[in-house]
Amino acid sequence: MVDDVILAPPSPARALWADFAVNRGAVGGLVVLLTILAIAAFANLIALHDPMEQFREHVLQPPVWAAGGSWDFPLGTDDVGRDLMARIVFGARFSLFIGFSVVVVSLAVGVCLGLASAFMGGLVDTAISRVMDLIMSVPSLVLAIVVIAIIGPSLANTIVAVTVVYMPRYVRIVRATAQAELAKDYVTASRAAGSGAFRLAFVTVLPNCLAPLIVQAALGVSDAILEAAALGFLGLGAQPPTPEWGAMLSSAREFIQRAPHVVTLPGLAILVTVVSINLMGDGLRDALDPKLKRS
Amino acid sequence: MALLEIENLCVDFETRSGGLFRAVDGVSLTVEPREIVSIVGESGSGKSVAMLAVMGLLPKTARVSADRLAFEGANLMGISPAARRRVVGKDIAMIFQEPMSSLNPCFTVGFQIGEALSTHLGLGRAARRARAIELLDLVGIPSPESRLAAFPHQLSGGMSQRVMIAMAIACSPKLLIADEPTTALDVTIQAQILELLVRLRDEKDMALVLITHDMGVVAETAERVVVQYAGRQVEEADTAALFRDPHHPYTAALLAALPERATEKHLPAIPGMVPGQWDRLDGCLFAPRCDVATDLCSRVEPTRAGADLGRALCHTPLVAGRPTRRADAEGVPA
Amino acid sequence: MTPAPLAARIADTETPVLEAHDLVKTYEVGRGFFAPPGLVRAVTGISLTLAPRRTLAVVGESGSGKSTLGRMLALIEPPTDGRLAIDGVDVTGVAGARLKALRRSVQMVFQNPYGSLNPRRTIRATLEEPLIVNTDIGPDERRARALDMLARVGLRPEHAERYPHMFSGGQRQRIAIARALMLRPKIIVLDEPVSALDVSVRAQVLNLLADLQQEFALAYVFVSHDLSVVRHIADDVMVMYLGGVVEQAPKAALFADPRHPYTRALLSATPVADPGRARDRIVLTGELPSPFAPPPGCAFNPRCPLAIERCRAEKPMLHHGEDGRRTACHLAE
Repeated sequence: MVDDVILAPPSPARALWADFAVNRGAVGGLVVLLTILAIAAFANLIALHDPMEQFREHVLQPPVWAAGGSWDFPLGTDDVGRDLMARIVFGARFSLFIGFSVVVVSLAVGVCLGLASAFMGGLVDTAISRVMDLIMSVPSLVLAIVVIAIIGPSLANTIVAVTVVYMPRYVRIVRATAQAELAKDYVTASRAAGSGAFRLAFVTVLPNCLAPLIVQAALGVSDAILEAAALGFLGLGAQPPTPEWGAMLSSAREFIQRAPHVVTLPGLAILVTVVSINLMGDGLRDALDPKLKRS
Repeated sequence: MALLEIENLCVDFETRSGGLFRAVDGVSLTVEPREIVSIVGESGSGKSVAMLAVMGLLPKTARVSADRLAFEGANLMGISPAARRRVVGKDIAMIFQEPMSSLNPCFTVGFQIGEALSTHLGLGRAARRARAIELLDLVGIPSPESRLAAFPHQLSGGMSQRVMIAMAIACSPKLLIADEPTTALDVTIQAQILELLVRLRDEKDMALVLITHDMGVVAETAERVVVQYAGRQVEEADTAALFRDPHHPYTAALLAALPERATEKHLPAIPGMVPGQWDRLDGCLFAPRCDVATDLCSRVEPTRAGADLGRALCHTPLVAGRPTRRADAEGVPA
Repeated sequence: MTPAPLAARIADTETPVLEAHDLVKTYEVGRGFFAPPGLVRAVTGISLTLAPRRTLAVVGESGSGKSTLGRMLALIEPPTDGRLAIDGVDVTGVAGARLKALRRSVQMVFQNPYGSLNPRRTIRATLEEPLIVNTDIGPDERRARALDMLARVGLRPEHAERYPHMFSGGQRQRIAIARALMLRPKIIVLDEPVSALDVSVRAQVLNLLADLQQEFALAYVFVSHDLSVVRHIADDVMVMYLGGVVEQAPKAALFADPRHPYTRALLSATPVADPGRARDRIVLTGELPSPFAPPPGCAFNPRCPLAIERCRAEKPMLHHGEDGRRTACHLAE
């Protein structure tokens, strides 16, 4: 009988958390993100008012820490008297929803295209790669605007536009890692065991391409939020009165001097969300990369 | 005066969980000028780490300590990096296992050889070129002038290894350390490279330390052999003596496990595995796998036997295949 | 030379389980946009037969084509030309469902123990995969078979839920061998299975292979460059150089009396762990020629110490000796 394995095996999840937790910033980012998720989930419990309700007698009221503020509207109100805190809290739902939807759809489509490209090679590979190159050659915001111009501005179409713009990066990652894995013996062994193309692609190769994908997806959420906010700022995303953070920034542009809180607070919300996701994504990358090399 | 003196060299690595891992434990070696010494061991034996420690090439997580570590009488321990650079690369050179990845892929062969020449000998451009051609010719590369402009990826494995050797001997070192130089090469190329190394030793008055796991290479090339197991030096002897009558059970088992010594369909394999980082035990590290181990072996660490018994690290070194009680056992209970 | 019918060339008392006839594999290598693609003749006309419980060793250095031959015999790559038969049935160029069915007849063990197991799957998943893909066996039965095979190669049941990176090289090779045996094939092609392992582990794995060969009546094609290992486990040996066979003989005959100059050079170059032995080393000059431009005549002639004019002009055919030996050398005829 052969002796024991050399290491006492920690479960892969536990090992990943240990690597991740070394980075304090990453853990901080994760905590903040989880808080934002909780806020979005329990928005109706946290918000004091309905985000669409207009209180005409409290227009442009400053936040509670400034002169003239009150605890009825802790973060003040906007130009038509809607409670800013409620709008920001509910806005988290929209921004996070956009961010995650974009990533989920991009991943799904990107993975399929990337795997097709790597496995089929030849003309299919060339066609997919050139289309992706085309998409990447246009500045992301410009392309998003073009897509919106074609299909019309709305929240759902924002998701479509941002997906189109960000998909190529997933295709490229999957294609590159799949090609590298295809050359390895375990794929040949799987093929020699009789696996068909489908099983080879999704069951054998794809799990080995996940690490860079996960990192890109985590960071992609923040990119998508920013992009959607930019579209919203230009008036091409969610339409009023939807409390999407970018759209809130746009409609409050003229009040920068008079009532800065209407602009800065939604902007801060975007900032905090994006930074926390980025910190967490960086930590994830550092945790997953050495794992790749450690094999 | 001995060329290289190593006494009780120990190398510890800092591990991620905070402790220290002893990769090399008490290696002692003396290399005389023009001698060919071979360090033999399997993976985990620490043979490469020991020589990298001599060269000062270990990462920052390594802690090197030794009773004595001297080259030509001058202490190598604790010297400044500048002082070390004057010796390493010039008087002591090293070549590595994977020739394809040991050469910088971005620069030509001529440039890389020239680097060694300009750093240590301060030669001018024309002189470097002339010497590089001379060196390539010395290592047996045909049409050397045309090879100067070649990039590493354009060379085969055997050629790349020859270029590495050329770089290493550029400054006429007194000691060449070769870390598994032929493991990655084909057998016929291996024969060429080994023959080249021996020829260089003869022509250039160079000592050679050959690190390998191949007992055949040891038998054919080395004059003296050091056997390492799990970081410890378990035996040291002249080549003929080691093969004729190995004193440490590990050496004997290693030789017996060679396919060419097999007498029947089943090879006398050594059961078990080399102890890893997590399972260091008391007593002799080889005891769990040794077929002549006693209860004492798993409790008490063995001391070194005398030179006539190959300085074997064993309580009961083998003589003609049978374990014997040591005369210097000092009242240790049997 | 007109090829003899496959059935007539039975070299052993048992029916050969694997037969190959004039296998050829040529690759087209793109050389940039404007240059015509280069042609690499990796394997140039190899014939062999193999009986159950026998081991055929294919020996050669890098560039000899031995790995390509192994992959063709394991049905991983289709031959460009030639015929291949398993159990007397012609399987040349099979594809689709027929190829899938043949996976039960021949399997492969790869060289690199660190790359041949899927790092993201447990050992049990890796062992069960051939069963999932090829059979309708239920999960309990699959699990039982996987654990059974794991035990046969000397590992314990608790190892099944672990990942490859937790095992040593020798253990991973055992797992790879277990995987190859899951479908109970008749032929296993082993591509340098012990080259990357330490000497002591090598012996363990070789012993395991010997035991399994008897237990499962396997035929092995053992591709290697290490003659000392070959000498221990092979029954017949085939030496390859630059895509072609230069010598083929039963093991004892080949090692006692090598006929081809390349075989002699290989044997003399292999280091022997015996310092007392007289060295009679033939050191070959030069390197392997580029596969794009093989030398005219005999592929070995630029490096051969015995080459004559005829060697440079005429490619030697494989000459069948009276004792079942085959040599491709003008001087050996």
